[in-house]
Amino acid sequence: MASMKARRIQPQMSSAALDIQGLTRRYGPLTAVDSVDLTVAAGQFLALLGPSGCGKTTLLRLVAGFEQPDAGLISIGGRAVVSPCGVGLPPEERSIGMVFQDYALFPHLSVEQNVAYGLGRATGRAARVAELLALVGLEGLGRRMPHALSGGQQQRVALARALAPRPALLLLDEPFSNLDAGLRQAVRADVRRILRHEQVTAIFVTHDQEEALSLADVVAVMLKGRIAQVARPRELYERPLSRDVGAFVGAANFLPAEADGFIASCALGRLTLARPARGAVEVLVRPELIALTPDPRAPHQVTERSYYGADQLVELRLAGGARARARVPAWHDFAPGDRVATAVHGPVVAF
Amino acid sequence: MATVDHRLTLNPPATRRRTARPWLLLALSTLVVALVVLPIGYLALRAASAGPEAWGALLRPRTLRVFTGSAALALGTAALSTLLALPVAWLTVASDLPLRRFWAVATLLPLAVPSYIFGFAMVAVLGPRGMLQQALAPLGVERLPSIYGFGGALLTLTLCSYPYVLLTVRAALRRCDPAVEEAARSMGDGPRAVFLRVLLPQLRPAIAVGALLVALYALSDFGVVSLLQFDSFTRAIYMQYRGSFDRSGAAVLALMLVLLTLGLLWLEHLIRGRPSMSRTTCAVARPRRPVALGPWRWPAVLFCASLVLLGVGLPLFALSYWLIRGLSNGQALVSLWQASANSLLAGALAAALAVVCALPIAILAVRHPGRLSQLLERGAYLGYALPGIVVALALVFFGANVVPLLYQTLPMLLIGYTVRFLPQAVGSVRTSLQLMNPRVEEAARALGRRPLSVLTSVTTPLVAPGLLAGAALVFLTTIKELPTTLLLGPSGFPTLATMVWSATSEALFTRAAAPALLLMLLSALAMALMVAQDHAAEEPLRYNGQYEGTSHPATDE
Repeated sequence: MASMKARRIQPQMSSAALDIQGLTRRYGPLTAVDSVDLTVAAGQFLALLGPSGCGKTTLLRLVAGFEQPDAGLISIGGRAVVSPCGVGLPPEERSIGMVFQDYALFPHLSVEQNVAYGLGRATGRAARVAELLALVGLEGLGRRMPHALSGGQQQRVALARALAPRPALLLLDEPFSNLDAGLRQAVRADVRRILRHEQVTAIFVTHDQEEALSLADVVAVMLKGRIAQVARPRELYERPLSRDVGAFVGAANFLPAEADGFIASCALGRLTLARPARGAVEVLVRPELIALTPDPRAPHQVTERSYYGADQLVELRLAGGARARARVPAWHDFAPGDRVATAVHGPVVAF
Repeated sequence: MATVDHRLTLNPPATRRRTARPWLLLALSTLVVALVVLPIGYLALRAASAGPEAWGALLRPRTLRVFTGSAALALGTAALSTLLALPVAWLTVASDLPLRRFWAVATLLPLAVPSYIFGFAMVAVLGPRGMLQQALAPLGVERLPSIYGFGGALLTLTLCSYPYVLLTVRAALRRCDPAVEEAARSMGDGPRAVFLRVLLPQLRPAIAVGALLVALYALSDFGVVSLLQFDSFTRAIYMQYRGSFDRSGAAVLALMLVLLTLGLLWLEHLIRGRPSMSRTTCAVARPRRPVALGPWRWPAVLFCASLVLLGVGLPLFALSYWLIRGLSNGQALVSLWQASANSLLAGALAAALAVVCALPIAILAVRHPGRLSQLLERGAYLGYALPGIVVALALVFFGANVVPLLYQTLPMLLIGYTVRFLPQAVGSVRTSLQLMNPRVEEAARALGRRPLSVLTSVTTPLVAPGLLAGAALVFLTTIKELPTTLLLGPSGFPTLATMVWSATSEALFTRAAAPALLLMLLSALAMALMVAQDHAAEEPLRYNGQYEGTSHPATDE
């Protein structure tokens, strides 16, 4: 099901950079990765998004070859790296690059030597190292030892090192989690630029939805060992396939509603549905889709307001008692007790 | 559509992760361990075929006394050594002790003193009619408290063997990430609490390994207990072996000694902490900043000084005394050249062989923990547990009966050394491996290197301090080793140790002094080398650390 989603995104993709079918990994009684299907097209940047413990790192390590699956197939660049009888190629033969969460730089080698490590005795080795150091903005730091670098610099060395041998697939395990928030923004943008420049297919694991949505071409949401949805960021956010995905990706109001085709009636009025539904359902309404107008005769009441500068989060008690949150521009000051009228922009989804 | 309890879907620890079975490592380790277990198999065979008389000897009260005495000596030496070594390790790694580098070297020097020389020096200085008593005689001192028995043996063995704990703890301490301690400080712990709650638990594997080495050393030592007349197993076995035609009585006693050792191994297993202590905080640690001792610096210096004075000064003093006495009596220095060359050759080859044999076992134990690898590691420890005389004896019979081609050759002697001292190499390599981030190896695999290439280009340089420490330990112990050299050495292959032994056993103390001093000198040289290597490995890190945070790179161009 998930793989069909992925193929719908890239329907004519003849050579997928990564193709996973029915991949399963158990640890005793628990199944960390549960019959996962996933396809990543060449050149794509895919985010593997999930809460901690959902199995996403295990999935990444299975692809890399540091773990052996109990069942399933993996092929990288059209080449099977795990055969149907369960025998896997060792990591060094999979043509992958990996950026580790703690970077795992070689502490006994300089920056240059770290980057050159995967290049063997290839000609143009020095040129490639220089090119990558320039690309990641570390020109002139080649002779430093890793411990004399800041966290952001170590991260870039790890990236340069993984990219140097031109891997068919780059795997990044929570690459930004060890950076402080201010640095993270800049490094994210840098990484995206670098990956574009190298035209590499990449998968990165993250538990940060904003990171996944803002950085990736395609996001695969993983919940409890299974791929719940694979979609472009916008589709994932606006049309989640399940309630769980909707709740995990971004803030969400779930309101009881009565659906009839493309229309659902709930406390916020008659809403347009993106997918037809029928009967008693729950609709997902993102907080920023709700517009508020002060109206003393309106049935909804403000209970709480948090001011964020650019916008504000307003908590509401709707007619009928249901609660909802709206994220609205800050030009009107709402206060608890205010009566407001609501309008919902755009279609919503029902479950 | 199996539903999984969400809370349970945590990533299991790295060590539990399944990887392909390491057949090559398993095969190599099994080969090495088979070599070690062989003499023990022979021993068991001899004991099993022993008559009821030999077994009956086990029930005599003297045997029980020997058993409890040996156990008390081993545990006491290990405990006392740890108590001495732990503060010294901390002072020389983490504090601003004056002359820190000097003490770091000087406190290791007792390693260069063979135990039988140490025992001899103790008797010559502190015994009845010894140098101290003679010096005090004009003051009317007729006799000193007796140096013979448990107390003397315990003191002497501790002074010989505490550096083993010092080495393992110091290596571990250097690799502990100071950021972890800083984190504890930030959470409100004082220096004392940090030491007890954070540092000590991290050092636990190293302490356990070091203390175990010391306990096993004390159990298998022959020189000290025979000279200080304490009835431990080795002395009893030697008496039995020499005193009767039927050697199976010695085999039965030796088997008991094996059991005692197994008890110690079990104890070590209990105190060893979690199997994996890899650094998890950050990729690369910063060098540690020394703790200011304040008013405690002079008591600390006094502590180190008295330890060095006892451990190095005392034997050096005694030997010099005898050497000068010999020279003044007109005794010519016996030619030492051949013996020195033989000792060096055998020691270096044995060190190399032991480290090569230790690598597969240590890697298997740390990277692929499981029942089998644990069994293999324990097996490797068995040879160290046996007193040298028993291993040598077993190998003599084995060599004579099974591989007569090797009997009384240098390879056979080297095998004997490796069987005896393999755990020293395994322990050091294992400790270094445990403190290494396994992700670094995975990074190398992901960059297209095969396991063997990863081993040479990443793992080996990173555990090099451990490899070197292991090799140095084996080299030093081998040069000092006596019983195996005596029984397995090729005929016409005199070493320094056998020279000292033959002279000492004939009470020709003046003749033993020169080769004994040379032995100490050679061992000290090897140790200086080891320390220099250690500092060389640290130097580039410290150098680069000074430029941390500055934007100007590559100042060494």
